[in-house]
Amino acid sequence: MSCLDATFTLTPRSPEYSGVSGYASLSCFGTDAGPPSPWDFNSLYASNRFAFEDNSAADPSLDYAQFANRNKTRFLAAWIDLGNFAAANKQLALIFGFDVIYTSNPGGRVLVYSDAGLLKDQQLVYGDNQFLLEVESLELSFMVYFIHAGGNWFFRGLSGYVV
Amino acid sequence: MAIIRVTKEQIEAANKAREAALKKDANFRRFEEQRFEKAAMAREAALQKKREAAAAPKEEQPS
Repeated sequence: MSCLDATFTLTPRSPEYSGVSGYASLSCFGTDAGPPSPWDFNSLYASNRFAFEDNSAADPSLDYAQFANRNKTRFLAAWIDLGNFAAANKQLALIFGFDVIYTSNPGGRVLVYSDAGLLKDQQLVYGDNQFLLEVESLELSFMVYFIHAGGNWFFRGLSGYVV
Repeated sequence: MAIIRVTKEQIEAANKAREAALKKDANFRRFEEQRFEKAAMAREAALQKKREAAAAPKEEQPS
């Protein structure tokens, strides 16, 4: 819960933001779906989530800054361009929202990448539902990738707060 | 909550790496071009719909 309205929130059903503050978009390159609920398309659409299953996870030992590796796996990509705030020395708090459905292992695992390399190998734990990227400068637009690297989990959305 | 800090230097390095990869890898270049073309076409289609809706004559209300 936040006391501030998000500058933007990108979800499967609302993957683009375009406004006075700038532009942000979310792309999904591969996801899982099928019975039973809540993994089926209807449930995923209704709950506005993407599902990722353990058996489709990427090999975490590869370098996903390389397109040739990234292109063979399931991942999300966010493009952020909030240059309008650059002069005001603003920063961006980017919240990645998720659900882990099973209490038992595996939880979930996401490799957070830029085009230059791995930023963080992030575990998604049952009972938790978000992690934060603190982006120190909005001068330059940037791309961030979230590689599905393990577990059974749902992606809920990305919310950006300019602070 | 886990926190991942992304510095300005990391963003600069990422953008340089991206530019280099786009020059070097024709598959990546094609992939990105198609993605941006698709987004541009979707935005144009949405704008066209708005223009058509604005230009359409409004139905008369029954008296």
